[in-house]
Amino acid sequence: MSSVSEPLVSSSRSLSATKRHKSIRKNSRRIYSAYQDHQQGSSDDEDKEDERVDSNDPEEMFQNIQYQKEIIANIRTRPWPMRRKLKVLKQAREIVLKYEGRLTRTRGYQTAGADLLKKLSRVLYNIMVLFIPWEVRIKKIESHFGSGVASYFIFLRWLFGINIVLTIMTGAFIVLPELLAGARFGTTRSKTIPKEHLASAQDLDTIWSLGGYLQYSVLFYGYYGRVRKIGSAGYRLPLAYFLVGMAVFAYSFIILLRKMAKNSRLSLASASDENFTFCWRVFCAWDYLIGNPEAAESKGAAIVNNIREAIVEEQEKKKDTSLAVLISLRILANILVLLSLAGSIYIIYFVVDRSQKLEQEKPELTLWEKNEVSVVVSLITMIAPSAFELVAQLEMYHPRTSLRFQLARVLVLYLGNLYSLIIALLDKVNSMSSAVPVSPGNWSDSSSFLATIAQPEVDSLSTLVSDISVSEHQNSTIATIAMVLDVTNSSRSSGTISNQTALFEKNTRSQQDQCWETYVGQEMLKLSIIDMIFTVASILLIDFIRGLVVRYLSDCCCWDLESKFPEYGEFKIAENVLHLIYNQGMIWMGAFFSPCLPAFNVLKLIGLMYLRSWAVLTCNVPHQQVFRASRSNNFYLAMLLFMLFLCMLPTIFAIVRYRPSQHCGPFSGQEKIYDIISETVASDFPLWFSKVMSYITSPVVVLPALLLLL
Amino acid sequence: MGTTASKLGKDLLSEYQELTFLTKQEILCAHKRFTELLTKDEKDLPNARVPMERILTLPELKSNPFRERICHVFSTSEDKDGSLTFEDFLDLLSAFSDSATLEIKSHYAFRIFDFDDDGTLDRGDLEKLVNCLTGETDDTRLTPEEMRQLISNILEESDIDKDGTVNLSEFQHVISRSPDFVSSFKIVL
Repeated sequence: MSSVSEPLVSSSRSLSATKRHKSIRKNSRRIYSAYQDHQQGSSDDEDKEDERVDSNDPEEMFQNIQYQKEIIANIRTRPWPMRRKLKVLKQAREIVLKYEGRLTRTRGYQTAGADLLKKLSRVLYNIMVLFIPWEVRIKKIESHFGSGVASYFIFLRWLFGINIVLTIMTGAFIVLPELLAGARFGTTRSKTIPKEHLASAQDLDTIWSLGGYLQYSVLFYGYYGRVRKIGSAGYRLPLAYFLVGMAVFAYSFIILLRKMAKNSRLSLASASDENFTFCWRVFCAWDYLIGNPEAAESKGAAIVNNIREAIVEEQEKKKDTSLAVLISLRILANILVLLSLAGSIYIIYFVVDRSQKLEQEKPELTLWEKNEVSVVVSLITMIAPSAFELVAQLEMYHPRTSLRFQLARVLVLYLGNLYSLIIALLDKVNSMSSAVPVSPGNWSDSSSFLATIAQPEVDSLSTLVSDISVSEHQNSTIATIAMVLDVTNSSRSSGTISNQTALFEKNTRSQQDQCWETYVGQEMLKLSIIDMIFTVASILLIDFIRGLVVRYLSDCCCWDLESKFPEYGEFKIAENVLHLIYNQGMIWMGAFFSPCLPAFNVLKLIGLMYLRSWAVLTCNVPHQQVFRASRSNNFYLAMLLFMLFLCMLPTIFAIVRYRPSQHCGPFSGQEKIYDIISETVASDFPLWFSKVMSYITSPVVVLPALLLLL
Repeated sequence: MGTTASKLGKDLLSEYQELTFLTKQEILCAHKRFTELLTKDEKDLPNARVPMERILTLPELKSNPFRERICHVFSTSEDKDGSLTFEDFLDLLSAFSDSATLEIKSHYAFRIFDFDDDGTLDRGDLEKLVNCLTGETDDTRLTPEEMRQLISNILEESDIDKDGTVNLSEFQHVISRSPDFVSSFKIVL
């Protein structure tokens, strides 16, 4: 019988070598019947332990005590019944207590410290678990629908956590300082509503298009002052704005990569190509979270279908339908999909372009025309995936393959939409931030010159000169400059100046500030709002009404509504997760230009969680066919990472390429947004620091560093 | 050692936390649910043993096709009747918890599927396993032909030493490659 305990001891000896993950090999060395051997194993265990701790050497004693502690730490990973675990625990603890008294003092403190740390971490973990929201709700969904549907909600909850952190970051470092210590609303030019807008500032219309009071608020970039230090403590707002903008992306990257690393540690299967289809369909088929008899029945049926299908596939390896027809159908389907993708990209670009032209031509825009862009984008995101599904029926792929194709196409669609939107916006930004060709625009510039002259600022004349050099040379410009110079040369009486300003102001257009960053922020926020409205509408209309129709009209109708068309809806996991990813991408794109966008997203996610969980429990049925799109959790995280990277690019591009607006925002007056860093380094740090920085960023250091990293 | 009437002692609670993958709240919740299953007299006994029929009334286990096997595997009773004490119940929840390791889960999964408790999964075990999954009614059961085909395919995929049965290490090898196993082998109160 000693041979039974031998592998037990040898495997426990190797515990110290591989603490976390025991490999499969080690388990196979254990003889299977070891677990049935209660008394014998533990008594042998005891003998062996007594043998080991008989020496008086302090170092060896310490080692033994550490070994016992390792046993204690790992005891929960042993598949023993509780009684045996308690016995082993007691023995190990007795040995530790017996010999710990003989240890030297420093060792004693060391071990006491480690114990305290462990206890503390356990208490903290217990407390943290209390704060996880929506646990009961998700558990209910798990028991009805299984782990697949629940994974959507768990993913939503995780995104909610990220957005909360982003909100705290932007809120604490940007929004609050500006609210508390920045210039009040109405004091500086970038914070006042221009006179001609004041009358309509409280209209529902203006509020809907995020103009009026909303435009000149902390929601958007344009509100933030450019003063280097605000408040009594000298808080550097522009620097903070830039750094937090970058930190948002950095934090998202880090947390995403950490989660992916954790997941890939858990699922060891990522690299393997082995395919145990039949084994998995039998051994891993059942979802133990299901607690509802209806769901259990449907899961059982799904498993049977699964097995039958695998058997059929195994038997008939070749398909009957002719190959040529199949291939031509698939090519046709792909062409249709490509056409629709290209079409959607073109439509979006066209719509943005049209809205830009309309804004310039007509003074008053209808409700539709103002919101056209966001509505079109959201409509496309709602309709196109269903269209893709219809097209995919032509292809006659295996359902799992077609689901993967579907996901890829929807992802490309979302990315294409976002990118064409942002490119169209950036085009418009380009025209706004560079030279102003339209003459009415020039008048607006002049009125701003006069406004700055009226305030005794030192750099007003310098801005005057710089603006003159920037703007194109037209006759009207020269005339303006002459008039302005006349005015400055003459007395600074407010009377004459106000007359001139009145004259110029009459000629200004509505974009007095030409704040392209605020405009981008507005568009992103509008898109997010309209997307939320459409999501809510689609859940209510498609799922809820459908459920009502099937439930109450099935008596009247001639065919059984519940088993044939239209049926109750199923919860489309993959597409909904993609929609979440798309939503998050929007937020990342707009976060730099609208610091309150993460806060809005937090509210949106909360609403989405409650609405969707209600909808899934009342209107949806469990899946008839169980096909998991992703082989591991990392699939969705990888897509999120991809989205993060792509959505970061436009912001970086805008920062690097375009000049910040002249009259609004924390970076106004600079050549490039990132100049704030070099300015801070030059002016606020000691001289040697800026010398060091210039050495570091010179090619001499950068090139070898890059080569080293490669 | 064991649970006293209706309250869980503090050192026992911390020991249970050491020995299982459950958090303090989960252990307390389990204790509450377990004492609900006890009759009035049983509540005063330490180490009360709840017969299998009463355990199976728990909603989390009621719809599970392997509920009886689960009770048998975690039961420490000498009569092998599937009755559970509170400590067995904790063992069960710990193996099925979120933070349990893959090795623990696969070990217990193997024991659950081993219907005749002989240490290997042979044809008889596999057949019973599939019948549990597919249900009792005739139209959901597999035909004998399909069953034969299925079991041969399973053995072909997993039986490395070709002895006609699946042993623990072969089973764990297959299970560890599956990405869905850990997330589906969960029971939460």
